[in-house]
Amino acid sequence: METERMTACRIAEAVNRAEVSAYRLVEKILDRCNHLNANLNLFVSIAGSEALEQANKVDGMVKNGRSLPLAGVPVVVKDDFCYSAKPTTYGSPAFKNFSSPFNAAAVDKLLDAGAVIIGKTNLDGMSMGSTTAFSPNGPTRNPWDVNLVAGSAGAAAVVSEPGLIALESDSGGALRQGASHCGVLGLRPSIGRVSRYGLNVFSSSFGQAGIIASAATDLSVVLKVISGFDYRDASTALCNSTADQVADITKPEQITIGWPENLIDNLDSDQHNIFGQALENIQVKGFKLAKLSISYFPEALRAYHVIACAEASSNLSRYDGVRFGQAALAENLEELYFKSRRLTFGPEARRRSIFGTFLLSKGNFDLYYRQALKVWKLVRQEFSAVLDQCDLLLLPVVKNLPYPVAEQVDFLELYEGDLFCAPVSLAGLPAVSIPAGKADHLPLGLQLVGPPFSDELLIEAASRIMTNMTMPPGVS
Amino acid sequence: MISIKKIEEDMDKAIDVIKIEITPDEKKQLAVNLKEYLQWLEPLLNVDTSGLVEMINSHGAVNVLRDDKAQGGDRHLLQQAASDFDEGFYQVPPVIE
Repeated sequence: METERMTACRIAEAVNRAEVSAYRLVEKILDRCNHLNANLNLFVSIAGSEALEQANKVDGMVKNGRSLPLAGVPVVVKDDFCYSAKPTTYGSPAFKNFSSPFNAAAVDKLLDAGAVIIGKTNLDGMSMGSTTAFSPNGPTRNPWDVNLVAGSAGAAAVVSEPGLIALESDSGGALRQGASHCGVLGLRPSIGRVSRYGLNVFSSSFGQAGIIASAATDLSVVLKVISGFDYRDASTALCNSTADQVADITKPEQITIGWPENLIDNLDSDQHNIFGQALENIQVKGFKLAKLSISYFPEALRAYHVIACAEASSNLSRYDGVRFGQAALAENLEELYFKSRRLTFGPEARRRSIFGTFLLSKGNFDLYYRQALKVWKLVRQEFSAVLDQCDLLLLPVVKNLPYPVAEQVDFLELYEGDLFCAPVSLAGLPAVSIPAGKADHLPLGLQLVGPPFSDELLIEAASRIMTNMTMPPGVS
Repeated sequence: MISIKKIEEDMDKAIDVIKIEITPDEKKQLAVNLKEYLQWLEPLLNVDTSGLVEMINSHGAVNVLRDDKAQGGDRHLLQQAASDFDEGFYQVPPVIE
């Protein structure tokens, strides 16, 4: 059976029917991933023998009559999730030999469902960034243009091999922006849907586990597998959805998608055109449109960065070389702390740690941090009021197209790149980045945002309005 | 606007709190970055937040606590993650002079 370009759901179906052997499929995917890795720098590590062993196990279970929702589905996992079979480097040279003794909750659920972990994907140091330019392993290249960054190695892997699923993390928008840059779907689920146990996050309030896939049906099945209450993560919700509170996707004429005219007017011409085409497409598909106005995006972006920096400075303090992190050679305790943190933190982690500590210091706490917490509240109220006027909200994802890999981008320009994603994270809402078109030769996405626990509605709506992309020319 | 000298002084205090080695050149660059960052944050300070109560967490849910009992855990397996251990004890660099 020809397995190229099969979606993850189709792979699971074929493996469950024993039309395809998971072992043979994984063998092929591993070959392909090794080849892609040489060109795109996708992986921190590839799980060769471990993946084949897991695939063999899946074939055995299928032979014994088991049917698994993700039988033989190849999954790549961002290297901030713990996976005991491979080191978890978290994008820091200090963790290059760290092997977690346990799996992240989402990883365990994927394995239980029959998925096969192919490898751990590249990431910015300590997941701080949306480009992979801050990775100690070098940036991941964009399959659409290898001279540009991919934004997310998981997204680059999925667009190059459509049957793959990527387990990714998203704080200020890395997952959604990477999906936009590569032309695939990226879901940041509702807070509380997916356990963060075993996921290293620098920001406790905003770090989330999410999914990247090439087909909406794949997103839907994987979300069902990895979501659910987890006693080890106090932020997981006891309920999985509030289906009775969200609109019925079978009646698009009863679903209103709002769009903020005040934000769209400021987009560049390519983004503006693609947004306009998406609005036309939404109407053609039978949805209603509502023109809205949303305030506080620039302020929300800044509030996000103040809170995220403050949380980073607090969360990273444990990497002192004694309790966590690699111990540097030192002659006394003070020196041990100073040198070990130097060894563990990359340039962006150093910057955020210092900025965060500055913002939390006496005199600055009320001025910046407390103000950011109040703006957080204001933004939540603003989004809540907007979602009272519509069922879903259509927003841009990225401010800029992907940067050239060799370009040294100013840190504030990178922070500004989160303009459309960070406010959604601050509002605590689920969002899905959907391929919407191409600007020049590069894909460009838009995001649909919904009320808490409207994830399934978001995925269904995305499937109806997304633009099907071809494979990038260099990898097809 | 806060002066670069004051920023450098405050940053020194922050570095001392964090306890991280920063080179002199890097410190100069970070002070410039911090000044730019504080200017960038100005629109945040101009938002009228009177009457608003701060958000405390991202989901507004009540904390869920498990029983205060040790669960599972494999001491030997956990110690494999440490750089050095001996007879059940973690080996750490000498810290008491």
